[in-house]
Amino acid sequence: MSPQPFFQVQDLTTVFETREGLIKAVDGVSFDLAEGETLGLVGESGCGKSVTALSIMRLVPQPPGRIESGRIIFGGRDLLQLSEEEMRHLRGNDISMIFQEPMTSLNPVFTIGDQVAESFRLHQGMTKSQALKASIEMLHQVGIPSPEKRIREYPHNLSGGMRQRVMIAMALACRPQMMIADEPTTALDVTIQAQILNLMNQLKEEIKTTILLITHNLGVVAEMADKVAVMYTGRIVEYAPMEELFDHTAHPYTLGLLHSLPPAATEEMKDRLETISGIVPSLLDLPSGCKFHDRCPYAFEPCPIEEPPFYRLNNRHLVRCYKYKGFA
Amino acid sequence: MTPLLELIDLEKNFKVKASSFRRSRETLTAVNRVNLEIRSGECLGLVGESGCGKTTLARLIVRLEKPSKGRIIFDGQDLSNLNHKDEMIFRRRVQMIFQDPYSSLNPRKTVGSIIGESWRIHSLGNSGERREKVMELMEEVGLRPEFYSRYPHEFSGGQRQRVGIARALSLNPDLIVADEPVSALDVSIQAQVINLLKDLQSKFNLTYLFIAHNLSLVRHVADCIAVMYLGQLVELVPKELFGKVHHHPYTLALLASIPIAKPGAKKKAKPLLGDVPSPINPPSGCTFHPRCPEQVEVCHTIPPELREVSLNHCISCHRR
Repeated sequence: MSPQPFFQVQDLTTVFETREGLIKAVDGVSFDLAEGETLGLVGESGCGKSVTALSIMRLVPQPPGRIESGRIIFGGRDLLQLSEEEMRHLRGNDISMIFQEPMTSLNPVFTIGDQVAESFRLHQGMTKSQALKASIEMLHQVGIPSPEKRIREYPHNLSGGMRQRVMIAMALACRPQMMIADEPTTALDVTIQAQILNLMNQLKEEIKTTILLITHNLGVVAEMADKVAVMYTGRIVEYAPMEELFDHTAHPYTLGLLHSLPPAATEEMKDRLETISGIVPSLLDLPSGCKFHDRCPYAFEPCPIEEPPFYRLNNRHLVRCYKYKGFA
Repeated sequence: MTPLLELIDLEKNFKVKASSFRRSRETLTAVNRVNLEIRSGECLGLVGESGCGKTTLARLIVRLEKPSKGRIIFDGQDLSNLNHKDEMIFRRRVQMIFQDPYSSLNPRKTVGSIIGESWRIHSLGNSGERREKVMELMEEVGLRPEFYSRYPHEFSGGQRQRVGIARALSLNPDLIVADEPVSALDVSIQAQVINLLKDLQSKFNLTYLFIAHNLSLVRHVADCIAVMYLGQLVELVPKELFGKVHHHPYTLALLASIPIAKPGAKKKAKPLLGDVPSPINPPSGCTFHPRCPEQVEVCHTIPPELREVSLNHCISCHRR
């Protein structure tokens, strides 16, 4: 038997009860991460990638949400079985999270110093002055100029990129073993995005954090991830090492996403962009069989009837599509 | 050929409060001496980061803001001294597509009345004709005419943006100003909307000012690319020359910053350091110099002029 992976999600299903009916936002999602690895979770809005992250942190609003089944194994324990108290200890200490919008995720009435110091004081029991000193060190590490001045400022004094650096400093404060980054650069300008991605890559090298990176941007994935899971309507449809995914794209949805990108400014021009026809179906009204079949150019007889299982193209490349029926 | 739209030394200043506790006001120059031409049937792409003044420029052109200095000439007519009648005609000929398909549609109105509103305002046609025209437009942008009496919340983001496009088309405009029309949409929907905009352009011979922050996207749709930084144009380059000429250092930095969906497409250039400076107190000389990897002495003191370095290619940089 292979050794226990560092982090593992098995068959996770998270549902929401809405007035219109039960929604399966995450449906049977499984993946694993080795220590120091970065997994990119990609998909369009509503595909369940953020709910997956919230489920791991046990932050799904309850009700209306509910984690229906599955296991999340980390450090030999199933996170879904922990008490609220144990979970609170784990958040920030062992697994921390960076959110998309650095303005709304920082508290506007506390200084930067207070907010970064909070994790040191809560989780490591430091005194106020120790925590402030540690915060300055941490802010310095994420590339904030003159941190000893910045700790007395409020979030609105900082630019978007600086705020996101503060978020990263907060997330890294307790040297967590794992970090979940939910669209960490989506709200930023491209030149600032490049800085933050560089910083994350550099920190990854330095402190060997394992990262679950959630994004809709395939470019960010190509720059950051070691492996990739592509999600559609709450399910993973393709799961492969990063280079394998781009070089031997298998699932028609992944192919569609890649083709609908405008060519990079350094690449050959295209006359028209290729598109995926139709729109992402509502989770309340999913098509039968393969959830992508009504938008898929390759759909054939079995697709509308039954949902395809995962076919294994090779040891590490899984795809949920009947095109690959020949593979076991 | 005279251009359809010409901006001459256009400038827009805003008075902003220096601090919430002080009375004093400072001047923020959002658009700083911009000279630009758009020829009929052409698509000009305007790129820049947030706060560079691209949206203010769009709002000046559609007359949602008044310029502080400079002139806007539309089809040979100076917009600064329009009478009411000319103004109404101008507003029919220039339309805008907004970024956010959620906040730019009135949630209490049906899409039919949203699209038909401009006809009502300009007293065109009777209600039957308006209805027919709206349905025609809906078909044109790929919406089913049966959706006429539905409300915006019943549509997805991509469909709402189609409603916004149909509304902009309803008066047969000559110029459409599209301010980040796809940046709120998912990738696969983005491509659909971009293709639609391109099809409509050739079908109705439209002229576009296409504003976006994504350089790859702008290069895909535009015939000519304008790059803006801190309220100023730093480069103007026709699409055919893009990537083949010596670009402005900021354009190069933008190019290097875009993550490419191709493993190993590692960039040569380092990302830019620092943030975009505040437009209230811009750096002296060339406003880009604090972040510029190629800066020399002269950049600190003398602001460069936008000049033609080769045919149709303009750059504002001392080093080019």
